[in-house]
Amino acid sequence: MEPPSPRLGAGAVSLPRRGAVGLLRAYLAAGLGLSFLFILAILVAPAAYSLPRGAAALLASPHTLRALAVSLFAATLASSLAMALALPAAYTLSRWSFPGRNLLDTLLDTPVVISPVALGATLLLIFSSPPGQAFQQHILRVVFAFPGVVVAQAVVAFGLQVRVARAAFDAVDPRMELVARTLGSDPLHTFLRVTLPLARRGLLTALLLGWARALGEFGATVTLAGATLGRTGTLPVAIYLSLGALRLDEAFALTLLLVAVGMAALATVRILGVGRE
Amino acid sequence: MRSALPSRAKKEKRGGFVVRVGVLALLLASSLPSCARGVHSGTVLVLAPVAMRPPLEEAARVFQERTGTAVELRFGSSGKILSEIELARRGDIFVAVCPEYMEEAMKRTLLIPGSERVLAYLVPHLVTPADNPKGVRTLEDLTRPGIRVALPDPRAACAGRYAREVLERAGLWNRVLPNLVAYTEDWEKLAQALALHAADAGIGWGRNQFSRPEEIQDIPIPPEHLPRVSYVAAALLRSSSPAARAFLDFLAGEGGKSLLARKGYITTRDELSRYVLPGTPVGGSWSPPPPGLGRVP
Repeated sequence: MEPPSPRLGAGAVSLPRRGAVGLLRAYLAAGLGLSFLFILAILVAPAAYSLPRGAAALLASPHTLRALAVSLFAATLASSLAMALALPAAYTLSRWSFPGRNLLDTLLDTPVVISPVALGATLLLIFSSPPGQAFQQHILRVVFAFPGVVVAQAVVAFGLQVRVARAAFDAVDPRMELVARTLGSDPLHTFLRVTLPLARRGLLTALLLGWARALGEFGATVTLAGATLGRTGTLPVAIYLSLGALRLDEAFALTLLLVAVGMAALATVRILGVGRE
Repeated sequence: MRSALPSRAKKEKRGGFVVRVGVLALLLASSLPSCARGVHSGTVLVLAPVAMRPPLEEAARVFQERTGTAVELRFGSSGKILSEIELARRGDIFVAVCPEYMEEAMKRTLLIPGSERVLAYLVPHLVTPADNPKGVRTLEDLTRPGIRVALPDPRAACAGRYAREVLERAGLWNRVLPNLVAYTEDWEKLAQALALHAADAGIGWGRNQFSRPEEIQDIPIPPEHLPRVSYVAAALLRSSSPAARAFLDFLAGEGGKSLLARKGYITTRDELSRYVLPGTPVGGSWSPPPPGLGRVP
């Protein structure tokens, strides 16, 4: 009897030609190389401009340190609050089916689609409306105050976090959860002990991306919280005001600081958290 | 089964691909200089402070209708646009609502000497939302408890310099500080905040210097409290194109002046004298304070 001839299955692909492989490799290398050069230029340019002009002394001023503190505190608070909301929203959209789910899913993209300045103006409009003013009078002052920085940054971060968190939950095989349930685990226990650990990497990425986005946020923050250094002035706001005051040296020194702090924080968390996978 | 191409045909095919990539690269390269300039030749790029948005938008439209030359407008606080010009070394016309910025631009050799033209005069006003819910009428009212005062940042915005100067001259700065809820990055953001009732009062330019004048109210500041008033000037940048001179001539000429007057801007010294005491300096300079609110109570 003749042995069965090997047949290509549905998932098999024909191997690309050598020329195409070469081109693909060249494209990959060029893409990586150009991206690296571009990012390097973004890092080097502000350093090259500000360091010879005494950036170190500028950075040591109390106003800079205050702006740094406001930035770090606000970004951490905003990304944590946004994550606390993004987590249930993303999980529900990923696991539950209900009427209007697609519409809700699309609506949650609004903060990503809307431009930051327009978002800031919209938030200003909301908090200046009668219910918004009542909220501000009785609960928390938001407009032109530090909570305004957090609210603006949280909305911007949320749009990003909910999307990434949703992808992380989508990647967890629902059968794992089903198996846990059949073994007697209740829904909360299943979520905490099965779903969350499996989606951990994606969720941490969501948190980090949200934090980084909040740290660099400018348009919505400045519109809702104002540009008051020492109170609502984050590093991006301080950079903008330095440009306005024709202090380019100061602006680029602050840019350098923002980049350095952001990168250092992200690298640290990645090494401590995601790197252990 | 894949048909094997003869090696010559293969080479030709590959050669065709290389030619196509080459043509694409050439096309991209040839379009780079115009991309780098950002505007097509024949377009005039004007960099102006937000206080000049209402008349410049109309002037650009009228000029384009008359001459076919497009005018691209870019707005920001005076300092920010000057920083952009210094970094990018591009643009055709620089408009300043504080003479200090014009002098600074001249000092940094960004302008064509002698091209400066005065377009209008600006006088600081007390500004409130259109319905003025807190009934603010005088500078003294800014010190009343519960009045939320916002001002443009004095380091970044011309209007902010004048606002702080007015309050210091009136001896009210320290008493207004407890009510100062925010600095805004430019005059327009202050007007927007007032229009949305995010603040009760502030000091800036007049309602005509805002795109939606019906949403704010301006109250004249008594002439004795005006340390100086400002003039709006426009000048050609070193990178300017020939079409830029024609637009500057239009702005500073009869057509531009009547448009500015129609938009509620003061265009003559005679008219200015109705708002200020004789001898009040027009222009001049003032050193902005250090950043931040200073002594926050």
